[in-house]
Parts: sequence; structure tokens; C-alpha cells
Amino acid sequence: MNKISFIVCLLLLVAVSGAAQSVMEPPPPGKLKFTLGLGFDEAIILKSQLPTIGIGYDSKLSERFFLTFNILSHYRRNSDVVFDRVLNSPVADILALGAWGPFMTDEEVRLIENKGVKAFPSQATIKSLAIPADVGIIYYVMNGHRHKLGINVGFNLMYQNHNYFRDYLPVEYIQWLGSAQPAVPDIYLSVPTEFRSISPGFNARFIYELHAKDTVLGLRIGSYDVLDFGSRLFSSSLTVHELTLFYGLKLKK
Amino acid sequence: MNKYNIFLIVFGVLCFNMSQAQKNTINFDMGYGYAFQQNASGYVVNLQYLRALSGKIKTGLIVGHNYNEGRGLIPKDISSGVFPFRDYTNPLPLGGYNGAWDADSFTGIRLRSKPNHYFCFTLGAGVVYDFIQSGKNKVFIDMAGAYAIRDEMEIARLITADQIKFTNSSIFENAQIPVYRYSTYGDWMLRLGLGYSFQISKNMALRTFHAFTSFSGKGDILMNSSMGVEARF
Repeated sequence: MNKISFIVCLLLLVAVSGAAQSVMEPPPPGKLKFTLGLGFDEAIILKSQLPTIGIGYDSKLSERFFLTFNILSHYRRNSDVVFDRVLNSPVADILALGAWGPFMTDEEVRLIENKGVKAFPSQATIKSLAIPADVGIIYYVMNGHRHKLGINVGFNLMYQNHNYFRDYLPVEYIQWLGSAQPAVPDIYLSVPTEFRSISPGFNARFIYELHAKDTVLGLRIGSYDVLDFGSRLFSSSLTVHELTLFYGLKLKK
Repeated sequence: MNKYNIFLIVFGVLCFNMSQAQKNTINFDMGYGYAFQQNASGYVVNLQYLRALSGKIKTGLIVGHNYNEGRGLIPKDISSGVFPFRDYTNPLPLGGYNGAWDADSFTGIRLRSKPNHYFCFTLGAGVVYDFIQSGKNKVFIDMAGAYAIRDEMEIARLITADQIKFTNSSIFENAQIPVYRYSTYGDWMLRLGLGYSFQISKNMALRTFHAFTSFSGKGDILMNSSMGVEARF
């Protein structure tokens, strides 16, 4: 009997102390969010399956309104059809010779050297990076104890860096090879153009949150630069769409 | 039953609850990264989920982005030759050449000549050992191994040309033509770092983390220094 009462007392103490802990704590003033997600480019094209990584913080203004800050790292690559057109040029040959990587076998290298161009170097010549940061307001349309559905609108600044082969330069490549007359092959210079910009705009999201005692699991879907007022005045930018899963932690004082 | 046992039980239960509440940690770090071999600098972002094995040891998953840029083979002084790069003074707009480009064709496009790009996505596991704990201060060692998906673009070589003549344009002498190479591959990384965290609330700490990362593919080494937050729950 003593043993049973001891076990019962122990279980009660665990439950009571846990409950007391939650009762005594003040309501959390905000939550810290860790995000993993997918980024989509304009026209909602998925160019990278590598996840975005970010962080955010929501600060409580009232029961339904929160102030939110977020930052995201989003990298993707893509191939360019324009670049394929220069693959038969001498420069492209040299470029193919320069192709390498741990997964390339000696046989593949010899194949490239003997036969010239392989499709390998034409893949993923576009490199794009976007780091959007935003500040805005979340309004919870549905504000249940466990389920919340919110709308977020705000202002974003987005750093972007794109490498594009959007065109090529036709060039006469004059080679003096010891002969009286120079060799003058027509080649195309595949020189990439870098676009770097910091563009201001507006962002908008829909947010769903599932609340536990101290934590939040959420899903948000939305767009950065959905209203872009910076392209003409400040710089060139592209819209980024996101589908992001986040895990939030309610902060305690 | 000894009358003091009840206090021991209460104390034990409270500790049990606290330990359960603080067993999980999520860390977020963002900071500066530098790749020695490529002489390229950039940023690093890391997200860690850790589970406590004991009071001092945690283990868990890591996921991260490393992005660096460098000049590569381009000399600092490019006045000695002609480099067909597109920068502030030699920009090109979107679309092909139509013979009518002028300064107005490039409104707002900002360009810079750092053509080498190195991106790395890491997914792996790590161990953290808190070897100094004093009040709200903590110093820790972090060791992690991960699979790295790497996407790179760099100038493989510069071809010296006696002359290059742009169509419908002038002839340039002593030109340096950059030839690029692209690599997308996977390799393994091993990271060893040292960090410091300061607790600012019951379940949150600010932290700084400094590490060296070695990659198996080419043996290159990345250094990073970052700031971040540590959340316990």
C-alpha cells in the first residue's frame, strides 16, 4: 500500500509541478521562429530544391496583432538556353576542357578532350542568390487557442545577386601562330553579367500556426516584392515566392 | 519513510521537469565566411537542432548555407589589359546586342567584378560539448560532419589574346579573356568550432560561434565567425 501511494504521490507531483509551472508563467511576449522552406522564382517556378534557411521574431501587440521580423537565405541555379548556342565555339571548347569535378572520371575527361564540347558545362550557368528581410504586421483572422490563421503584410528589403548569360558577344579572335597570316576564327565570348541589387518592396503572406504550450509549428506561403516599387528607382529585382515551414518558440522572461 | 524524503522527491521531480523542458535546443547562426583556397568571402547561415545527452553533451542535426565570392584570377590592377567584364563602366542590358546600347539601357543595374561564386548546402550531424558553464555564461566546442552539396562557378583561366575585335566596335590589344568552369557536386565536410553563449532569458541565449570547416573534395578550408541565438525548450 505504501508503495502504491508513493507512486501515486510521485505521479501527482509530476503533474502538479508541471501544471504549476505553466500557470505561474506570464504569457509569452513573443516568439522566435526558425524556418526551413522552399523558394520559388517568378511565375512560381521551382529552380532549387535546396531549402531556404531563415529566422524570424514575432512581437505581440495585442491579441490579434503581432509585429514580425524575418530574414531568409535563398540560393538557386538554372541553365540558360542562350548559352547553349555558343557551345560550338573555340572558347566553349576550352571551357569544356576546364570542366571538372570529383564525379568526373578520367574517361569523361578524355572524351571531352577528344570530341570537344559536352553538354556538361552548359548546365547551371545561372547563379542566383536572394536574401530578403522584412518587417510587417500579422493579423490573426482565426485566433483559436490551438489553431491560428493569419495574414501578414509588410515592407521588405531584398538583396539579390544574379549571374546571367543573357547574351553573348561575337568576336573575331585573331591568333598569330607564327605564320605570315593570322588565323581569325569567329568566336563568341560568353561573359556573364552580374546583377546585384538591394530592392525595396512589399511582401504578403498567409500563415497557419498550430500552438502547443511553449512551441508553435507553422506554415506560411507568400511573396517578397509582391508590390515592387524599387526596380525603376533603385535597382533591378525579381519576385521571390516562399513556402516555408517554421518552428516557433514562445519566449519567457 | 523519512520526512526529508518528500523534499528530495519534490526536488527530484522539479529537476526532472526542468530537464525535460530544457532537453531540446535550436541554434541559428549567421555571419561571415572566408574560403582560404579560393580567396573568397561571403556569409554563412546555420541551423542546428540538438538534443541533450547529458548536462554537458548535446547531439543533433545541422543544416546550413555557405556562400562566398572572389575575384579569382583577375588581378587587382586591371588597367594593364582589356578584360571583357561587365561592370559599372562596361555594362550590358538584358537581351542581345542591337547596336543601340547607351547608359540609359542600364538603369539601376549595379555590377561588380567578383565573378567566382561558391555555394554549399550542408546537411549532417554534430556534437556539442559545454566545457565551461558559469552562471549565464557558457563556452562550448562544436564538432560536426555533414554531406555538402556544392555549386561553383569560377574563372578557370585567362586567355591572353594579342587582339580582340568586338564586332561593330574597336580592336583591343593585350586582352584577357576569362574562361569559366562550373561544378556541381557533393562531398563531405568536417567542422570544428568554438563558441560562447550568454543566457538572456529562461529559454534563450545569444551566442557567437567560430569554426573551421574542411571539405573532402578538394581539401579546401572555410573559416566562419557568426552570431546567433540559442533557444531551449
